[in-house]
Amino acid sequence: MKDLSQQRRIPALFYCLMLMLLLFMTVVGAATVGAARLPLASVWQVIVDLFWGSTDAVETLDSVGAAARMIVLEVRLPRIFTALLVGAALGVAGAVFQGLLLNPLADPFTIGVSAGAAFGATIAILLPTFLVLPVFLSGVAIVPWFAFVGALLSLALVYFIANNRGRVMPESMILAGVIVASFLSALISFCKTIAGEKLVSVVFWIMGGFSGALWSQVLLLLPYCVICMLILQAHAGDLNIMAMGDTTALQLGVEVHKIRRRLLLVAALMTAVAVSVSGVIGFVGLVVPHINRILLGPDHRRLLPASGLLGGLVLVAADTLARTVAGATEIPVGVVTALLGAPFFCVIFKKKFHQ
Amino acid sequence: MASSHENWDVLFEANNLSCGYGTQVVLNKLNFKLWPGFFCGVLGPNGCGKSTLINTICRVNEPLSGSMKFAGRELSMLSRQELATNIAVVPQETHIAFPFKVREVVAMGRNPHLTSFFGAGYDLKNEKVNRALAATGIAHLSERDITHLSGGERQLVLLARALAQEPKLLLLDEPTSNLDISHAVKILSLVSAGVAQEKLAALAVFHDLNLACLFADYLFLVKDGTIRYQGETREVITEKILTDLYELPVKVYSPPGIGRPQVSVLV
Repeated sequence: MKDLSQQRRIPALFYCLMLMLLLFMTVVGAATVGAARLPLASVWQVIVDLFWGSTDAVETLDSVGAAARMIVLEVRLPRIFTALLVGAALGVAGAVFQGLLLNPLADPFTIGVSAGAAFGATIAILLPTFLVLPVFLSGVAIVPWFAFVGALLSLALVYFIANNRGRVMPESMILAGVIVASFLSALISFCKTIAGEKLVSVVFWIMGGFSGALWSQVLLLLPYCVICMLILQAHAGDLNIMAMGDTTALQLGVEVHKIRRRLLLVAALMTAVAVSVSGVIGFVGLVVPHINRILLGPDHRRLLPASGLLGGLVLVAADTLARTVAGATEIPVGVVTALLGAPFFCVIFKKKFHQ
Repeated sequence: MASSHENWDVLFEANNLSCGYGTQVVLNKLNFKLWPGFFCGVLGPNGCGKSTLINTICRVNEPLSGSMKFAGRELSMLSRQELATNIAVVPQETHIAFPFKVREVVAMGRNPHLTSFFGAGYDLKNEKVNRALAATGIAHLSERDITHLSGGERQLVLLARALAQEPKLLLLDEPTSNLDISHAVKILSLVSAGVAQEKLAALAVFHDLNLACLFADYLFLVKDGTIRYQGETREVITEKILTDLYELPVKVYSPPGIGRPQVSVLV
């Protein structure tokens, strides 16, 4: 990682408060815009009702108000909160992977979790073509579950390859991830060739998106992500010390191998669930931690929460663009993050790294 | 050798200690002791296993066989965290990739004292961090990025970090091999002061014979996988012993006013 000369750092607390404010404004803005044009006032009313629950007001709504309430509450907000949680998970996981693997190119997908999820999802999408599904599976959204299992299996495989008697070296983790991911990509390509009319679904799922998000999904995601993030945050100080190298970290009392194993697994599990509900959304997990590192310095104790907030903010904004800019057609959100993220990051990179 | 220190409480004791990697034995059946308040030096040709010894004592490498005792306890019984509250290491040269501030790096030395079930902890405003910064004379650098310091300044930061650990035993792995003579003397004087005032035990691997003569009270001379000679500096710095160790003709002399021997190579 190139050093950042005498960078002035922004106070972390101020920065995080600003991000929270921006995030709140983005959420409200995102709930306001969409295919159905809703007046700002009725959107506000729904949000105020949601948080300060005056349920008696619902009965007095006219038909426009009721429709607005329905759209905001059941369509837009679950989608926004799913994007927020996935973005936060990818931001935090990206910062952890970059810190653990001591590699600026690392992101949540470096160790191949996304390929596993994509393969699982592909199987789930193609399955009904070749098999009659058992009755208990019909009507269940099986794609995220298959994606999650695929992610877990690929993680287990990568870990099995990289593990050397309880020690996992960063380089072997990256190598194992690349090997497993390329193998799975070949399998996915094979599946695509026999996918027929399902090809479009497969391609769209892999490119990532949040359409059809449900509150039930948010309620599954929320505790899962929060627990993972708390564990990672508890070890943020260890990550700082481990950035000094294994030998120094051991001499400073850090159980390097145990902590690295734990952090890799927790960050990968969080990535797995994020990928399962949203598909492969690139760039957020790579760029968000870098921007924060430039602004806040390398201390992971600040970097992780800030990356969670900025990741959530970026993905809510990107998803809002994805569902609005092209009218009725949805652009895959992964396309938006890469199209906007790459040039933006180039500007920062040229300005800050090449001083 | 009936020196006065034989009667002190032994801090560290190695019995038939063999060090190395896998099946490769680098150091074979070493026996030695370290005492609080003594500055011990290790000398020997390149590749004789000096750094391996340091890494084995701080358990970055596990010993191949033999035992190590720290303050009467088996070293292998201490947890990684306990170990780091008792033994600190100043490394030879550290590449630090991330632009941490000097204060952040020194504060990491407090980690073993503050780590809990909830992970690593260190406190930037800790009084002991300030004391370590002041003791090494780098308080004015505390807000600078470590990546922007000179080699000598960086080594002072790493010494400050080791002092912030408040160890009983300080290990130094060629701490001055890349420094100019004034920085080298500064670092070693600080270690000497810690040894004299705080009754630290110090074990330093030396590159430079004359610096070792100036600062070490006691020397271990390593060759061919064993401690070939050990004793107080004046006793072991002789022309016969050094010629045997380095296979070079040398002249030992006593410059007036410093009370310690110095060595010149005759070529």
